[in-house]
Amino acid sequence: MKTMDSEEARSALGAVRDTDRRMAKRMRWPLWRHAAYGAVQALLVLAWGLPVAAMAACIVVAFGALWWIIRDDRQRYGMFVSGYSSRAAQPALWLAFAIFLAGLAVVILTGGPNTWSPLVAIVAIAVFIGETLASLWWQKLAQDDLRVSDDAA
Amino acid sequence: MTAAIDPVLHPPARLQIAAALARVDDIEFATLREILDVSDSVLSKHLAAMADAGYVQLRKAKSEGRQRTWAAFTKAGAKAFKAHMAALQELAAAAQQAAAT
Repeated sequence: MKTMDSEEARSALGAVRDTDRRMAKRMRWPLWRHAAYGAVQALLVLAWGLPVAAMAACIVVAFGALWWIIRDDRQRYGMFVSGYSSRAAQPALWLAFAIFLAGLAVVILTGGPNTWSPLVAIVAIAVFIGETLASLWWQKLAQDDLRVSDDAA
Repeated sequence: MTAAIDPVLHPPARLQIAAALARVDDIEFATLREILDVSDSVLSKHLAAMADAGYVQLRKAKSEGRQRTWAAFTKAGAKAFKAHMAALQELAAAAQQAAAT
């Protein structure tokens, strides 16, 4: 078994904090990236208020956009960070799920699936705004977590 | 002292690689090299050792006409890093407690 004294342990923890600080500088995404995520979620909610053919097209477009976002993240930033990557940011992830499910419930329970009404558009806009804000909150929580470990240095 | 120091993660460069991998789903070799400010050869050597231990999964993918290497933690790697960090924190806390008494 490897042994280590407390001074080495403190130094190793310092190195991890330094890496966290460097990661914090990288883990920032522009507003359009958060809005793109919000748009995908809104599109998936909107789909339920459309006729079957349009619904299918909408879902295909949403998943295509999701695939593009992941690919673009990898090309542009050299890494991919999913919502599950930060434990500290999980409240924002749960909020995003809740907004999506609430939007879906309102569309399905008020008009029924595949039934268009102006409410569907209003709900989709609300989901877009809510999901974009949840994504921004996720970034803030993840950044704060990295900075907390930096402050402890 | 009950927590064990992981020999694979013991070298400082590997610990820093692990700390970066713990924050992402996957990361490209050049990005990781820039973040850690190490040379290609140092990063390659440590990533290979971590991959041999089953802690890191390395994947090659073509992007914009170039072959790029992507690194990600395996489940075993993530678990080992968590345990190693707990051991480090335990050691540091024990020393702090001893100094206070």
